[in-house]
Amino acid sequence: MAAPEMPAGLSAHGEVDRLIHEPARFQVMALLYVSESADFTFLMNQLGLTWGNLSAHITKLEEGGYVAVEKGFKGKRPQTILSLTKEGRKAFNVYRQAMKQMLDEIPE
Amino acid sequence: MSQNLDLKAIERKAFRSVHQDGLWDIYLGGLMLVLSLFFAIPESGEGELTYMVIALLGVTVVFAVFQLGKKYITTPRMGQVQFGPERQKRKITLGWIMGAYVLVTLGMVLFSLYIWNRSASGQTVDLALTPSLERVLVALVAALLAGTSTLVISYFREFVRGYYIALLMGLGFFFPLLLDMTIPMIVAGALILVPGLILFVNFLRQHPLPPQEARHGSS
Repeated sequence: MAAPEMPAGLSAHGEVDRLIHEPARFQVMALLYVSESADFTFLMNQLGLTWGNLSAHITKLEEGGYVAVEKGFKGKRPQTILSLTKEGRKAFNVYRQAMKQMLDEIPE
Repeated sequence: MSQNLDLKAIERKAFRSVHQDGLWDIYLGGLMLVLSLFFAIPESGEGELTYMVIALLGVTVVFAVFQLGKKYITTPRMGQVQFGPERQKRKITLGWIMGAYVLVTLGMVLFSLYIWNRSASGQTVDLALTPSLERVLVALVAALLAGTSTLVISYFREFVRGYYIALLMGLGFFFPLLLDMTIPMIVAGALILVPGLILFVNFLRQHPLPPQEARHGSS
């Protein structure tokens, strides 16, 4: 007996980028996608995440090559600026398209 | 999930959050209060210089409070963000428009000084204006300049409270010039300043300084 055919939307779900799919990481990616760059404090405030939680997600995104972490100084104060890499921007676009397609294809 | 994909809304929310510290309101309200000193100068002109020096010092203090407050109090709590090219373009456009406003205002001031000087030296200046019409015209021009410039800033900065502030600034300049009274400007200034102070206090309550690691951005 042949397996029932899976709706196209659900098959697309298998292709969704798991690194971005986690809600907090998705929010980090979305916020960095609409802005050029932001620092830790801004992301923490906007997303309501603790420093530890955000730091863990940023590390994963950085390891995945999606987020660039640039350490520098503003005056005498150390400052770390986060931004999406080209790869990250591209991956986020692909993720958006996949999600849209998947949601659109789910029957009413 | 679908509502989370509204990127424009995410960007707008992040952009507008920059104004939630109340410092713009404090700055503009403080500016109105300080400028009201110019209208408080007695008819006799007694102590005119003192009033002017205090007012100019006040403008400097209000500006310094805004800049230092942003730099040392609210930005460390709120964090920093750089928005995309579209926002940068709007910022540059706003800069050009504000430059034009400054030039127009400067032109108006110079023109007024020219007219007053000619009148003072006994030369006739026939603008076919009655004193009361002249007063209305001056009040209207000042109100329009103050009100519309704030309106333009509010539009470009998506500073929603700015529309209310623009209205108060317009009225705050119109009535003192029309009625030769300082009170409307003080009331307008207070109506801008007080909500700003409340917002500022709320902001400080809701945004304590982040942990040292986050402030220094180490991950």
